[in-house]
Amino acid sequence: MKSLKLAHNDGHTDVCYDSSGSFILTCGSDGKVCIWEGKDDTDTSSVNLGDKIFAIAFQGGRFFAATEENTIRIHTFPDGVSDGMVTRFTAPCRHFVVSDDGSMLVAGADDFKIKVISMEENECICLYSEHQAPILSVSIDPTKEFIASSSCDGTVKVWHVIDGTTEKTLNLLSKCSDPGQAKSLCRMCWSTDGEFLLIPVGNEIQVYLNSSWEIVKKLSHPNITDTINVMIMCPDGKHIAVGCSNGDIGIFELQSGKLIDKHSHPKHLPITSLAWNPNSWSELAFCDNVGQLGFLELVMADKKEQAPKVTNGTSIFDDADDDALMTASGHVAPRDDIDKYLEDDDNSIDIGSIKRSLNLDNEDENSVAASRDGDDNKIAPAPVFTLPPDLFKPTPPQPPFQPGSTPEHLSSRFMMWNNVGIIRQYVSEEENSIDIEFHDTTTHHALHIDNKSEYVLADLSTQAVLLASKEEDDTCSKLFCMHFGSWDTHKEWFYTMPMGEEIKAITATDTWVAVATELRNIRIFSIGGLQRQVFSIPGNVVALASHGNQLVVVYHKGMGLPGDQHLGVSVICVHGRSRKMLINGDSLPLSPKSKLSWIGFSEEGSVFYMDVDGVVRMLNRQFAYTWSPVANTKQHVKGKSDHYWLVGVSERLQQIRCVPCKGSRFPATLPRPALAVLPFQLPLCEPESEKSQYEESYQRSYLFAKSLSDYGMDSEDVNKQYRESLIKLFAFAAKASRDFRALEVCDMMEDQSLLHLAATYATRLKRIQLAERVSEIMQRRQEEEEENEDDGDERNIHFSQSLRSKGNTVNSDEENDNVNMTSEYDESTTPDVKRILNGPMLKTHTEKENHKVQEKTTPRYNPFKISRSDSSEKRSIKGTQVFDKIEKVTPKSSGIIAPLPVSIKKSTKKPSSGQAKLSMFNTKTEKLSSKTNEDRAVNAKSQHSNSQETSEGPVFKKKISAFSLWFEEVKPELQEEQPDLSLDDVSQLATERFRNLPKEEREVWVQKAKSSSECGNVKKRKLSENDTDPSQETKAPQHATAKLAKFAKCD
Amino acid sequence: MDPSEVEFLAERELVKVIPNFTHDKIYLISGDVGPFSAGLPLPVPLWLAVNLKQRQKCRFVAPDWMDIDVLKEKKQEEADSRFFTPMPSPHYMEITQLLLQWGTDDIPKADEIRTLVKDIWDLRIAKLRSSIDVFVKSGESHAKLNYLTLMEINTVRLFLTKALNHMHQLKSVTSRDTTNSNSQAF
Repeated sequence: MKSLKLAHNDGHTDVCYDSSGSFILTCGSDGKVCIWEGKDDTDTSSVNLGDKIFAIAFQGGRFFAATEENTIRIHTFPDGVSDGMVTRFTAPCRHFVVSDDGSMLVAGADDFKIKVISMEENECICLYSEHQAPILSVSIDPTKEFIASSSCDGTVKVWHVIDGTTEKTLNLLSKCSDPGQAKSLCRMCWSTDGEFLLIPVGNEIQVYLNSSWEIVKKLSHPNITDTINVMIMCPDGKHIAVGCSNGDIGIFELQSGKLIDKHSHPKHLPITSLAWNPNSWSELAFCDNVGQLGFLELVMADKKEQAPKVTNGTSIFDDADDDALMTASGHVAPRDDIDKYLEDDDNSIDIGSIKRSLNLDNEDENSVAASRDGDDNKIAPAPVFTLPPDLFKPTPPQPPFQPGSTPEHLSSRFMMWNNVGIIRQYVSEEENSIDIEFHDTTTHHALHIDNKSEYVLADLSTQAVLLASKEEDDTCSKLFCMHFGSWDTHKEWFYTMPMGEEIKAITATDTWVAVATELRNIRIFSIGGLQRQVFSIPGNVVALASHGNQLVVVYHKGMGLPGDQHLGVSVICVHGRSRKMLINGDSLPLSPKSKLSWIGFSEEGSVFYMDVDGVVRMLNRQFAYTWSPVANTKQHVKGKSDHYWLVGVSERLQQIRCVPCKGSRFPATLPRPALAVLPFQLPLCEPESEKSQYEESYQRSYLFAKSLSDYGMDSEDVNKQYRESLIKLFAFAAKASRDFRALEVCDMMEDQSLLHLAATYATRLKRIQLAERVSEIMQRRQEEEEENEDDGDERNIHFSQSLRSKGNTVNSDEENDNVNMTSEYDESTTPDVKRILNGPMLKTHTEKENHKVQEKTTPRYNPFKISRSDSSEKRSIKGTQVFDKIEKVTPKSSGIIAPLPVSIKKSTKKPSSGQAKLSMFNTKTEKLSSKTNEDRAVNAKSQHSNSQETSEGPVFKKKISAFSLWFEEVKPELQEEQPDLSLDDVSQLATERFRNLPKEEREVWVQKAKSSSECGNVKKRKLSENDTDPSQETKAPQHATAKLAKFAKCD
Repeated sequence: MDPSEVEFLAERELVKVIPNFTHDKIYLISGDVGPFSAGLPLPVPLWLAVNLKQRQKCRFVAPDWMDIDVLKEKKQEEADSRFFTPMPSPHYMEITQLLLQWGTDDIPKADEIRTLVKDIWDLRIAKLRSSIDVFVKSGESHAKLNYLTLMEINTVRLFLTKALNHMHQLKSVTSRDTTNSNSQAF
């Protein structure tokens, strides 16, 4: 016997099985009916009936309970919803039984009366009042002819059902005044054929013959010592279980009259109820009088199969000890289970037990074993009649709904809650009204309208309120628009849909509205009421949403996999100049076995949607128009059945606005729901790790920054955010020595300043290789940028360039590129477009005078251009080439050193090793034409001596740097000093001297240079950092010299 | 201090409101407020909240602690403890009064909340009085009470200081008298 489960409070407890044998119902003095799912269930569901329950029975999917308020109530199973009342007495009913077929219910109460109720007519067909004391128990004969009833007056009366005439009175029991005082509940059983009536008297069972009412047999056993309290017939009709007042449960075999099994209650509490599992005759449930429920596993319950086991343990048949019984019976638990029998007998309204007691057991057995008699009330046999498990059940398609509304069946509901306002509907028998409230009272004042036309769908925009009604029997579906934003006198319009075309979903924007109908049409109206467009969608609509010019339609594409919906989505630009389809009929990705719960646009205009599992996804324009998950509202939910009801999304503030709902999917109208704000959270792996947090922050801010910039909105904060995340990610990776990963991060950086920061950081960490690679990336980027910029700047620099380019040596590569660019350059479009528009046709545009000049200077000199092939060659060359060049160049101190105002932003990245720096520096220099190299070097020097901007001198004409100015001044002196020095050396000396000047003096010269230089339209490439790396200084003089020389040569 | 002065100081506390208009950030001397978006909650100083409410430009959002269960628990805690327990806000009394005065429709179960807060207030004032009594009777020179709010202190401040002053004077007089009597020699 397994441990007893506490089901109810102290007191009489009753137990019964449901028809299938898989549920056990117990009732007790605490007024609850507990439903157990099998004997191993620990987590019961319970139905609270309120008062003490004395008896419980199950029949036909419903259960009956005899309560303290003198009634027998019916409740549905398993919900426990009250289904009516069978009858009532003037005193509590202590015991009742339902016939097997459910047609008859016999109940006996403390007011000495027994009622026979016909379940079909719900009427009492017979009232028996012959007893002179409270009724203890009743029992229906399987043939439904007789009813046996025992009462506190000591008699057992057998009487006819039909007329209530007493057939026989047997004085068997001791008299008492109250069932609570009775020694035994005296639950009687009929044999399944109706032949015998078994009455427990004392500690034996007396078997009476049906017709003569004589005792034919007495079943007893020395082991059963105490008064038998309850008795129940096994569904097989061959065994009977008895429960005693001392906790003994015994099982007798009717034929032989022998005691087959005996168990004892561990605490020897009286058994108050027994129930036999109609499905499995080896299971017996019992209850004691302190509210506990226990189960017995019996050996002999199954007929034939059990027989061998039974014979094995011959001791079972003998008057052996309990232990012997136990061992012999094998899986009988070493506890006294017989009591269970007895309990089951009376208080358990196991159909089996009822049937047994009513002698309908035969039928029960048969029905369990074989097919039912076709009687609806019979218990369905579990194994035989279940549906085949692999029967295909199509997933019901999701019905159409308005996102942002609560279900239609509620009496007070939200018709729409979006970022413009709230529409509520109140439905009752007398009134049907609509309340419209705007978040911003400047849009419109609140409205309250009567809803005579029974509108059920609504949408709200800043210009209009759209309402729609469904189709009734004779009225067509109506569309009604209150265009309060209209400036004329007519503020509303409406349309009636054609018959048979019901409106399923609506949506409204400021300039147009759309309606989806039953016939799979989408009708577009202008906000003023003109019909604009009708088009069809390939499936039943699920939801509509709109914003600006875009309409999103979600419809059923087909039948989904079992449990899944198969939804398609189309995003169409229906208004504005161009009508096009952004997404055409793609499947809408939902979580497995999930449905759509909300779809709409963010305030800025991106499509967002949420499914029933709480995952919010958006249309990711940055990544190939995929639907990316951006948040999971279920993560923020405290309880398991709490949900968030979405009302709006804002990308700029990066928040999802929703209403937390406890225990439901949508909020009630009252109390006024409080809005909560949830942040976005991309579902990256390991969200707690620092790295993932940076990654997530980067991805999210990048996504929204780009999205916002697409809409032309200011996204400074978000920009800053994603850049910060990138830097942090880089730092994290670099610190962890994951240099490759760190480089990948650098690849993701678009901004030169970020790259610069990264390089600096890397050098600080002494990761030389990483720093080098980062600098390579920087340069590569810079080239690309310059090319792009060149495209953009061509025209700008054209004029002055043409002058300069005459005397400039230009690389052949440059020439080609220049030619190309020439063609593009005259286009008055952005560099992007220029690139796109490049082509032979464009060359015809270059018909301006400039062009002539250009043509003259065929290889138009572009100081900013980085010729790729050249640079690639040059890049590979390390420092030595510079020196080669130095030798080649003839020294010349130019009168006018007009350095190109190229800010060597990139070059200010200073790797710690001089070598690296040199290479970088060289590659920089080698990329440019000789002149620009010089200029840059000069610039570098001047920059080096002070802040960055000052190097931006005039582009084309005079590029004066501080050094050059100073050099001019000093040159004569120097030359005097060292007359024998070549100009080269002189300039070298000069540079050294210049460097050795105190900073303030240099500053002075720089200022002079600034003021005297003319600033042209120069792209400023801002240096992000001020570098005073001494290594640069050391290198600079050589470079400077070389550059000066080159410059001189060119000039 | 005047109770109205204490209320003035309390009005600097932040409460959440839901405006029904949209406006950019407002830059005030005491700090920045906003930006306001219609229908979305944001924190503003209490004085501004009351002003907006009076002009029907906003709705109050009850603070987290202004809830029946929370207040019941607090009251229980206060009743059980011998000393003063920390209050949900250093100006709970003033906030409650103002919010419930102007925003009865916005705060759910306003009456019960008012009652509960008043009960807590009464408990604390009673404790304060009894502790003053004990202090005086014991004749100690120092006493320290934690977690008192400004409003509660203000109720006793005037009287207590004056009374203690008087008592001090009386003490010094009597001690002088005794010394005098001692010194007097007849």
